[in-house]
Amino acid sequence: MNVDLIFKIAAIGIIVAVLNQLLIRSGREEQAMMTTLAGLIVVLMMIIQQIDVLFRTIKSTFGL
Amino acid sequence: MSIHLAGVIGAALTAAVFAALLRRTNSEYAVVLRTAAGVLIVLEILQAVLPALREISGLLSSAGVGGEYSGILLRALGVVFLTQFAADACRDAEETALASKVELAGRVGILVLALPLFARVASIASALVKK
Repeated sequence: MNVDLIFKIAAIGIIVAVLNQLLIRSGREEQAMMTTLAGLIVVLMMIIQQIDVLFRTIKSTFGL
Repeated sequence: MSIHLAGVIGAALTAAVFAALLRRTNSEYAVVLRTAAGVLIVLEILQAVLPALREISGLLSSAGVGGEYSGILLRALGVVFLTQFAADACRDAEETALASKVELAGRVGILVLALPLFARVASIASALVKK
């Protein structure tokens, strides 16, 4: 079971939260927004692969 | 092969704790994290349920139920798994309307799957009435 994925997503979320706070404190709101967006895209790319695996497994299991 | 229960529980609790941590600062990561945990757990369940499904289809075929009927049954089960997963993910993101739309889509899909069976039952009933 691939629990590393959960830790990876949580780590990216925490890092992005810290970067967000730092950039907002130093008065760069746009870059903070961009950082959040970039992190979200990375996390979504990771999760999309797992969803693809899930769909393939369900398709092959239930003969859809 | 039995279900890896400790892994499922550990993944769920870890994801719950991290989602609670991330909810305060950026809630979109909490949504993604919950969906990832859901994908992992459903994959684990499917791996455990695969031998049981094979056993059940073997029992059905030995009981004389046609392969067509058990195929429709299994396909409906797959549709239920998928729509339940998607609807739960939407409900976690507090999109209740989207969740109910997904459930409606699943119901329509199962209805379309089961319509040939309804047609067959209706034809058998009409043949009995004519006798």
